[in-house]
Amino acid sequence: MRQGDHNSFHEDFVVGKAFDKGLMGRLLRYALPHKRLIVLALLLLIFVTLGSLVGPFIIQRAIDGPLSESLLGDDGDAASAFREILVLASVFLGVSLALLLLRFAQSLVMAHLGQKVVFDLRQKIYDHLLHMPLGYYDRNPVGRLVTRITSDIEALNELFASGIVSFLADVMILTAITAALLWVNVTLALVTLSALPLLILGTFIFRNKARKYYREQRGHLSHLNSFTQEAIQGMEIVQAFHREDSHQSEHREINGRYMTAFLRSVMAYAVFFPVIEIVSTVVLAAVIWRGGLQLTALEQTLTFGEFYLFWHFLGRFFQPIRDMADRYNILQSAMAAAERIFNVLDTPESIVDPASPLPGEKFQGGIEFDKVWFAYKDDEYVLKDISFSVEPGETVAIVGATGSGKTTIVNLVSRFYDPQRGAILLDGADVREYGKRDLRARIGSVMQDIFLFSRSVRENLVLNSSEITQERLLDCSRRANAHGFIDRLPGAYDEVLSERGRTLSVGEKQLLVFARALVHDPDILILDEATAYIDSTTEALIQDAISKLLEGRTSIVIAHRLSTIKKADKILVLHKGELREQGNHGELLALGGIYHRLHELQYLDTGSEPNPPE
Amino acid sequence: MVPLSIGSLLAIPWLTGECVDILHKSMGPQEISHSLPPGSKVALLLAAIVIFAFTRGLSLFAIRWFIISASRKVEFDLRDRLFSHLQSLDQGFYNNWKTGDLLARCTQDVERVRVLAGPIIMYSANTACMLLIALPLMISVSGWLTLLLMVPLSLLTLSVRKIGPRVHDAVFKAQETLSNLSSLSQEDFAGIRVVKSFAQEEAESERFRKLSDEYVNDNLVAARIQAWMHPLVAGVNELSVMLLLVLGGYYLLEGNGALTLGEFIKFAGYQFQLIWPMISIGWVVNQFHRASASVRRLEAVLESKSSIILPAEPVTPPTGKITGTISIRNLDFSYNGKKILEDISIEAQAGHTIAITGRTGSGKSTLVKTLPRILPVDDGRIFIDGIDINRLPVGLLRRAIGYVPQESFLFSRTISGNIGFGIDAPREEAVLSAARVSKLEKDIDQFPRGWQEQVGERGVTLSGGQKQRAALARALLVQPTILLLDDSLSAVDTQTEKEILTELAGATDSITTLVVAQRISSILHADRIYVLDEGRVAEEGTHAELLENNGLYAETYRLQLLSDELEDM
Repeated sequence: MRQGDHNSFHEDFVVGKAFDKGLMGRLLRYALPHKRLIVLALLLLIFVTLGSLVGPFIIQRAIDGPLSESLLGDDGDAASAFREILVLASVFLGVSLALLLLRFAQSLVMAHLGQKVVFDLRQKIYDHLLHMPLGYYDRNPVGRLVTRITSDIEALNELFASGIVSFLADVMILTAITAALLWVNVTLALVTLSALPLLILGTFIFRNKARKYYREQRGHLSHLNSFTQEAIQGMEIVQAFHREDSHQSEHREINGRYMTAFLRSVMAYAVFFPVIEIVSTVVLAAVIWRGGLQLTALEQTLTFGEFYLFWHFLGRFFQPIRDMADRYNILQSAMAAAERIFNVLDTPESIVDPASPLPGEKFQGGIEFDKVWFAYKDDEYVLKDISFSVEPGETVAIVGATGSGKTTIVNLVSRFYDPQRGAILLDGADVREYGKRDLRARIGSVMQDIFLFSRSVRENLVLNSSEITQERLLDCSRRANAHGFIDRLPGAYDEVLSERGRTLSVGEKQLLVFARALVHDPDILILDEATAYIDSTTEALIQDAISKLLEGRTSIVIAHRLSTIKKADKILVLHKGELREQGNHGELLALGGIYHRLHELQYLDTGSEPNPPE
Repeated sequence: MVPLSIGSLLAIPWLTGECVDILHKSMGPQEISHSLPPGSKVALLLAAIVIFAFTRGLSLFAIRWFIISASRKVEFDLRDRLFSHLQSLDQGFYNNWKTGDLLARCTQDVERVRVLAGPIIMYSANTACMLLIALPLMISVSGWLTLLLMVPLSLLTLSVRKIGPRVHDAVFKAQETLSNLSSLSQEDFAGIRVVKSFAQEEAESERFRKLSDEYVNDNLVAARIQAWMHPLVAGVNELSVMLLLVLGGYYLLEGNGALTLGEFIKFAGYQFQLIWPMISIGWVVNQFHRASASVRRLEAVLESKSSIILPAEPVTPPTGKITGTISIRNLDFSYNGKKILEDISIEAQAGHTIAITGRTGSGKSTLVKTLPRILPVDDGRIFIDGIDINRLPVGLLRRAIGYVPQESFLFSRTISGNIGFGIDAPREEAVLSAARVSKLEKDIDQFPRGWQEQVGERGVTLSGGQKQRAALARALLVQPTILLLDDSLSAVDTQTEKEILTELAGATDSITTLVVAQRISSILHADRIYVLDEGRVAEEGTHAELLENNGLYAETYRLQLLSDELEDM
């Protein structure tokens, strides 16, 4: 696993394996459903490769046939020679047009293939991630997970769209040209091919260098960009601390490193292309020399048409060699991406549905914790031997300091985690006996860390459910005291919220999530009361909405306000993972323990009864 | 250099053609034996080919190296200038511009201007030279043939000009969909709790599928346009060769044998060399359009001016140092036509602690930000040591202030680098003692790499409280005379906050402290407390006086007590 990998900064610089049989095999399995496209791509590949050889041979026929006949002074045949040329030209035109279409089709088929394969894979990895338990999200930063779905998948797209098939294409065209050259004239072919090992070697050295420089350059660029981004975001700090000068020189240094890396790669290109041109021109000169000898020899072993063929193919020889080195890069990054993707897919869903889940359309709402022990990691128990029960329709308030285990208790009810020991019973059955979906759909939760989607208000309230009517939506928003401010938004219910609802005030966001919970009418409600102090008008609206939320359903409230706590049917006092006291307000006061002390302090300091707005 | 390179390049097909013609003549029916003269002529021509090959190679190298590296230097300077300008702009500018937009200008637009300074110039020069040299050469062989060959070649230019922008638009659309796709995943992962709580996995997956499908379609649309490009280039090449063939044949038919095999080779060679320059005309025009748009976008940033005006005649306190007496007199502040602060007056003696509290949105942060001139104020409103802050040298003012913002922004560098951010080469003991006062020492010891631990995405993720404490240490390290704490311990637990406040009280004896807090327990002991409401000072006094007053302050205080006690359990 890559979790907790502190070296991810260097990911850009790392060169991975280019080929891994196991990974490749697994990848190809995703391509298998599209085997028709693969076969089509391969067929087109063969046609295009062979077709592109036809043209030069037609020219060769023309040069050696009608053109040279008439050149040799047989004037009488000029008309028939021209006719012959026209025939050859029409064949050439036909082949060219066919090739035009075939090449077009080839590009399309390859693009389709890549897109289809990665579409399936992208969906698969997304679904898998959505079903990962919350604990997985605690360990993996969101940014990293998004990378799996975007850039890693893109790398695989490139593999299928232009990696594998194009690699075959390059091999084929090289083989075809070599075979054609050998077939036409062995001696000249050998002269031409003698430069080949040098060229391949040179190309690979160049590509390795270029790749290395490119990687460095990209690393420096992303450093420069993130530095700039950070400087923009933190400009207030830079300016408040009067650090503009030191920031400027830091920027100049990174900028300079980027430029140097770039110049190095410019140098590699500036050297490589001229070298290739020089080598191919020298080979051309050698072919003319060697060919000239054969052309003018007593026993002519070479025709001018064949000479033309060599001249033509020399120009087409080097592109595939250059490209093959590129494909190697694609392969390399695809392998690295595949490894990361399969790592995600291979992480099992640790919280699974039972084989035959109990029916769970509607719950009475009786909850029982039976000797529950829970630890997020190893033996660090955050809940120790917790037992309590809630009758249907009751409200239970949990009080305790940060880290006492309040949130963990509600997490276990929704089965976001499974306890190590003990059981949580809902309507008398273990929560693990129900389907997760049924279970969670009937439990509504309002957490302190409010999350809103950057979608319309309506979508944020109904989520993806289509059964919720407009009347119900309006009714619930009114009851949650949210309708007032929603109606004042420029787009009312269709107003699209900015990221995480930044444009709304804290109080408005609270009311919105209350309305969301009401709309979904859960059998059990989990509420994490906000600690932030909100102005008194909104506070009153919130208190009112909370009492409507709690009405008529089993509720577990992580409480921060005395008014909420006093009204609860049962109060649980948690301390360092242990359930220290439980009972209603009166019973706990009579007990004279932690709760009693809390209550005393509340009045000692202010000397007057706090006045909770109701 | 460019004509030299192009000249040598075009010399090669010409020489090849000459060779072929010599060879061809030498094997004419009248001259069976291969005589030496043509052979030595050919040898000479071949030697010339090799020499031209080297000339071409060297000049090509020189052009690339000089033009591209010059453009890189232009890019370097542009980035440097842009960054320096960004640093001079005030918060008003940053509130109006989105980070993403600014960043796009710093990256994409700079890159496009670089392309203008480098490749666009290089390819334009190349193409111009190529046409200037190749056309006369071709016309000297055959005017008609030249004219005919230019037709498919100009088609190439036109189609690049046409297809280019369409490809660009299609790719742009696909990128937008991809960015939607990644926003959706980003949101679903960040809000995974909500997704799971409401059992929305299937529905969200369906949403993703739809977007993913749209993305596939966008890509295929782009592919459909792009797919024409390569076949078209190959097609035009083949069409030209075919035209040559037919015309060559026709000339022969006319009986004057106007086109020799060598000329055929020359023509085919020129034609082949012209393909890329003709494509690049279209490319250059497209890039030029884009680059000029980028120049305009960059100018918009470079021409923005800061509203923080540096004093023309700065006034320095007699001792050269600021002692920390603050006097705010009837301060008003508006933003975008909305009054944020109204008639605020606050007096603070050097070394005193002044607290500001009030509801969210009451203007507390705005008030704090006017002191280091992060936000602009009118003349004659804020005085430090009796001098209008608008007349103090900005460097002197800001170096005297330690600012701890509400959102504790840390840079992605090491934890000690962050604490030492405010000064050059901070001493180790100084960093240590600042961390000690902010109660950060123990946390740092627990990081895998201790003080050298990277902060942010690529290192440990600090908790909200740890970030705030690091920001506090950063401000303390500059040994300020004025300390501004903008609700900057809100995420620190009450116990630690108390310890920090005690430490701070000891360490900041001579520092004027302006502390903003929502949690009243952290400002009980301030020398004077101001309660802001809707931009005005609603109440002021000591803690006891304000409780006596039984207003907004007292009400807030009572509400907060319970949650504080719960935390203290």
